[in-house]
Amino acid sequence: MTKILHIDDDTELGEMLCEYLRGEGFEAEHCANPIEGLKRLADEQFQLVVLDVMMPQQSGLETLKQIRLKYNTPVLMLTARGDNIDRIVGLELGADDYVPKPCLPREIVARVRAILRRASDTTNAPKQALQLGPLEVQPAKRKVLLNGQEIELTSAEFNLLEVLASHAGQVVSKANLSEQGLGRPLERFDRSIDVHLSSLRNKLNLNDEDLPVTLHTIRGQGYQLSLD
Amino acid sequence: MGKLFWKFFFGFWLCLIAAAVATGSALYLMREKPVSSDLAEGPRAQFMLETIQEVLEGKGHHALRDLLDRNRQRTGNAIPVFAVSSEGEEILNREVPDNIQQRITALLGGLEQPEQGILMVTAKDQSRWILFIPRNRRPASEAGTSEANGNTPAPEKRRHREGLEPPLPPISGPGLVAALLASLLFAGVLAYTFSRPLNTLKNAFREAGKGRLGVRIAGNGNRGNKRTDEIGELLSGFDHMAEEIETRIEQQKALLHDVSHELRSPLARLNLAVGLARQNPAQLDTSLSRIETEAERLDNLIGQLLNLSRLDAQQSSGNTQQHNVIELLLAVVEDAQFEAEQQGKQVEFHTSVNQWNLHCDAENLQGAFDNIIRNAIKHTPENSAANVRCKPLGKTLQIEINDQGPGVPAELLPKLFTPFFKHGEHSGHGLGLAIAKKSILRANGSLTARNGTASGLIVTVQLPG
Repeated sequence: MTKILHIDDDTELGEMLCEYLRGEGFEAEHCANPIEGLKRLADEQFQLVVLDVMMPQQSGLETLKQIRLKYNTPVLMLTARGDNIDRIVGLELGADDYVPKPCLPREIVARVRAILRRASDTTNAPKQALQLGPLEVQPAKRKVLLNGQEIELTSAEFNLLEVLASHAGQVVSKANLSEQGLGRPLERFDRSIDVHLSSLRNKLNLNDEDLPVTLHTIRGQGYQLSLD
Repeated sequence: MGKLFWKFFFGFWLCLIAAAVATGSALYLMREKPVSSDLAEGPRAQFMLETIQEVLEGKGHHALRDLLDRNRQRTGNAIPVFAVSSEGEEILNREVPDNIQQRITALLGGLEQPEQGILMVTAKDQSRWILFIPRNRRPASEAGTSEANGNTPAPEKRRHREGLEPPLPPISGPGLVAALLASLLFAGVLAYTFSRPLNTLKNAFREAGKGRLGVRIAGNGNRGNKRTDEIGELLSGFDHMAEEIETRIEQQKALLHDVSHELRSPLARLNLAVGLARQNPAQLDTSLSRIETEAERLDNLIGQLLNLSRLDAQQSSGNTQQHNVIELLLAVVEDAQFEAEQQGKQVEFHTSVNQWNLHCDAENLQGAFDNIIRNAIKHTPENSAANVRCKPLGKTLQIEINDQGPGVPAELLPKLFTPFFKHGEHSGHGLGLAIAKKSILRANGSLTARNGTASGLIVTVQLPG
């Protein structure tokens, strides 16, 4: 059974969302206080965290930072509609996706499913490790090695890297990246891919001249990961 | 350099030139006029001439010569009256100025009538004399002495005489250029000091007009020479205005942001309730009542927001009348007591006055009391009481509403009356106290909050009499 933790100060909303998620076949738990939410994460293994950004005790972004310090659990953020800064910062901090609030509950469930599908996809069908110069992507273990050293990536970042690495040398469009990497179609004005890839660049040091692997941005077309 | 600079510049410059020309003309016109007549006139001269005439007519020219000679020897200075005989000889052999000499000759020849300042006298011995006093006594007396010395060259005397006429001031080319340059410089400096701040102000207004309200004049590099005159006040007045507008707009933006966020929460719950109803039609009833609750909340929130903006807009509701504040308060307290009892709490009311008349909008004021007292009930623990105390204080009525809850941290007290400020578990939208504050201000009262010494928050309302 997939366990989802919902951290949101709005108790009524949380209870309703959990009820809805249960109706969709998940096991859901609500936690009104982010600090207690972190404790719950330590106690039990959750497959996904739904995190509200606006909370009086501690902001969702701060909570996200603390979650990322310890766990790789995928995180879906609930952000205020129209607040782009929160979204970008959230994605940079390692959130896997976001849903603007208020939204229809089926939208949340669709995003939850997409994230979970991506996270479980590789485990169900183990693939061969991909080698690209000093970079090694191991889909089976969901591990990335750079010069033999393991690099910590969020699940969205890993998924995108996997897609790019399996099409090494080819241009992958943002629409394909979104479909295959994030498990959802690309939306208008959607900057998620760019933000994820930007943090991927930083983590893998892809801007380093000495590294023979380069991530090219091809304007209007997409991204290309290639060996120099 | 704008138009204004040139206007000021030419204005000041023309003023300077006009002033210079006027001063010059005045000086020229007022300088000592060159003597039109070289003979002394006036009562004193007339008197002296007539005295000499008396001497001549009474005693003859010998007596006069003796008299004048004695006088000269005693004082070393001759009496300035000249006496010229018909033969053209001066009585003391003093030199007669040339131009007078000519006229005397003409007079003696009978060609002219004696002018003012010249007397023709027939002495006792029938000799004819012409009496006059030359205008400049000094050259006359010097002429006398020089005659006595007999060696002063004539041209020097003439030059001396001419020098006594005040000459026109010398006007040199370089001087004129320097004066012109100085006037240009001063006009320029003056025009600059006036037009520069105005230009700055113009630019600042233009910026502000484009919506960039962050513009400040004082910050534009002229903080050092802060002017204290009217222009300085004008500039700082602009800064003040821009700051005020900016803060107000920021406040409005923040309010709008809060409003939209506050509207979102009930909407999100509404969406979820709809989703639940779709997902599980068996629970339709529960979902519908949830939807109802959320709709009610939205309505309530919007009502409060309208109330707040109505109070903000300073529109007078036109319902102001003379009311007894104590009566209004009592009605609110009674309602609140009923509600408090259902939660196992009390509201205690103490007053030392029974009548306090105030011209106010009863609905607004009661709304304010209601919000404050409800807030106190919310935060006071079960089985405790919220206290309402009324007493006159000087010319005002003081109403203290005190709960026995945990109070508010001191650093958050100033924010207590800002819209959407929430503290503690039981807060609603955070609009109640903001509305109360505006209503009380409307009634020309004041609303403050502090923490009690023992426990709880004390909200103090002061109303004028």
